[in-house]
Amino acid sequence: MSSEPAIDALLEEATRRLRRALPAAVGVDAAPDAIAHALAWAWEHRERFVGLANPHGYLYRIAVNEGRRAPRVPELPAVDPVRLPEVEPGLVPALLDLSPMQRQTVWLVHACDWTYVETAEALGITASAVGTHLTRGMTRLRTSILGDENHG
Amino acid sequence: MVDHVDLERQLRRYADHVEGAVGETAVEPVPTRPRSPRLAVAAVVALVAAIGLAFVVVDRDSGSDVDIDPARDGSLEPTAQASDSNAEGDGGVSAETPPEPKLMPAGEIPPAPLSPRSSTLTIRIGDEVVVWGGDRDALDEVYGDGAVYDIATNEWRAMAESPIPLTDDTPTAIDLEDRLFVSRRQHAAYYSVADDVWTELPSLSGELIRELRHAPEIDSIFALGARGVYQFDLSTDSWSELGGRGDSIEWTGEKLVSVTGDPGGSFPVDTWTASTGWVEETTIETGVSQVAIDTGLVDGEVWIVGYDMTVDVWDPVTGEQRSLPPLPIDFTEGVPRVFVSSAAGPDVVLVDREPGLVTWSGEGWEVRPRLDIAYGATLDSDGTGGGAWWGYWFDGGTPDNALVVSQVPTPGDPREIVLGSVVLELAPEEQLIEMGVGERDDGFEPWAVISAEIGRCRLDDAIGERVDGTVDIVLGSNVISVTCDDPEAPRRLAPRLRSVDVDDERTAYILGQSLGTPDGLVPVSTVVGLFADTAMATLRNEGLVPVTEFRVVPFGDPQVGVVLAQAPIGFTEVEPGTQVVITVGEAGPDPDQ
Repeated sequence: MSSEPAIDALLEEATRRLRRALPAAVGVDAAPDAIAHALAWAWEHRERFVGLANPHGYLYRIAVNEGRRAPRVPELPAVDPVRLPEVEPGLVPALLDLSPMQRQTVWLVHACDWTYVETAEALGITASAVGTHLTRGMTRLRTSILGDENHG
Repeated sequence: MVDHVDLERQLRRYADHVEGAVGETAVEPVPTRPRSPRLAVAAVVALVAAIGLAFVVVDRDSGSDVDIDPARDGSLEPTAQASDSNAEGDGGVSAETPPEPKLMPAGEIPPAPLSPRSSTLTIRIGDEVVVWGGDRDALDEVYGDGAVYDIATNEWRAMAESPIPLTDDTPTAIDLEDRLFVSRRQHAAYYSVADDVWTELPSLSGELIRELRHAPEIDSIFALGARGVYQFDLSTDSWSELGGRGDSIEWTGEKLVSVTGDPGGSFPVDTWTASTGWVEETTIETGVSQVAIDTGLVDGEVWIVGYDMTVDVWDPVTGEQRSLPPLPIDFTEGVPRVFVSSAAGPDVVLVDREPGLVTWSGEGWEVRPRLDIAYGATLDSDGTGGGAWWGYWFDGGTPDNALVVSQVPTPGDPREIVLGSVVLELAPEEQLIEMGVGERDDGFEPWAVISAEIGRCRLDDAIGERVDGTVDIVLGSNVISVTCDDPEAPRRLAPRLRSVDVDDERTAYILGQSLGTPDGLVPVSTVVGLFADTAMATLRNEGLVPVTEFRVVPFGDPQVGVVLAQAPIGFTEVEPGTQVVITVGEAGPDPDQ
């Protein structure tokens, strides 16, 4: 890395968080390029990046913007019942069936443990809107998965 | 059974797996890449959002029925796609292909680093919006500064100083993908958005450029001036004088068409190519003393809007002519600005006054509700939003300082609408509605046009009150009773209604078509506008837990003790026992003490 430990640490943390956060928005295949683009921006604007109140949310937006050429419905790996026995197979189709905003809020808040505020800034919406999308998204997920269970 | 906690756990576990999949691919910062080539379209940026939504706003200053356009059914319909709208000397732009749709960040748009002004160049380039120039007649000021708004980051940045001299003419521009060709009066310059660099170009001495048309096939830009037509060679950055005449020009892809209005009641139509020079093609007889207000290329045909809103169509290939019915526009108080844009969709005419947006269905003109009262009809290049083609008003950071970058709607997605600087997020089952207030002897009766089908309806649980000279509509409860006057079949509805203050003078009303409540969840009532004790009782009655926060308001303000905001918002369906935070107005210190 560089000779600037502070920015290095931030970029490492950002990489880790974006690896987890981005797939639901741009898909697993597009995520690396999107992350690289975001990190490049952060490095090029490192003084500004270091001063951000929510640097990961900011980079998330940059990365999603870069990855918007990916398919609108991101490609996520199916649940392997052998490797992930505790995860419902219907979770992924249900996730992909959500609207992009619902999917991203559900993913960022519940899968990535982002706060409402961090999520709101990443998505460019209000914190209360995060709650709205989250509630609707989780409801739809439950309905979809329960429906699979009922027919399974 | 998948309960809430279990679902969270499953999401985290799956995310662990996905993160690992991404981590198997090396991620290293790459050198900054040049900006992706911008799509060669310039969407003109508007003040208000997607066309096709029910018209929304109540002017709270009105003491009687508000004259607003009829509501639509709330469904979003792309109205046009790639705009091949043509640049004019009034701030219009030329477009080639549509940009990718981009979500507008919801919430407040930060003030632009620009002073109040109108008649700016306003042009969208990919995810950025360039706003430059303009003037302020009231102060007799003209401006040569500008700013670029980044849609992705919701930030402004100031533009470098321009070499274009200050004049009181509205600038116009052509998007050349890697740079803009900007003109103002007789001056021209390139502007690189990526590099924030201006490059001065030769000017047309003594001329006044009224229209620009991009001719990419011959790497040229045509300019219509007061004295004739000019060709700017983009490969040599030089002008050639072509002579000719015209009120409006159009590039067909093969030849330049110039339409001139004749006081005798006709449109002489000339064409130009490098090999033929000017050719007098035909004369379109209209019988009315004419000026060609604007032309547009629609499916290869040249549409000509005349002084009295006549519309004639000429096919440059076959020479065939036909006349359409006049535009349904009242011009008794003067001829409005008209802007023809085909935008690869329904044929569109934009007008800078009522009705604002008119499309040709093939059988007749259809009027779309005008969304932007003050600044003209709007149309975005991807067909779902709009753009003020002659610029719009900046008010230095007030709610008038706003942009709209439209969103291509997808059924089921929440929709975003911008009014001023407030962004409204609508749930799929919600629509903006038209509200009005009818004055009665004993007060005011709120009414709404719920949909084109249902028509005008009374809101039985709402009150219109006159407060300090304005009329406020107070909603009695979240779920209101609506009685619609249908002469054939009166109906009663129980939609959910919420309101959002757009600014000090406007309130947007949003109607929710209830989809029912999933088992186990409760809908949060809209309590904004209620007194705190009533709001808390309402929420407790729903099995929710109200939590109070306070916001200081001036001493004696009517908002003391009133709920100003809530989270979650009304319509949200939550589990019983969920906390609802209400923000209540608290009186500030008594200024007399």
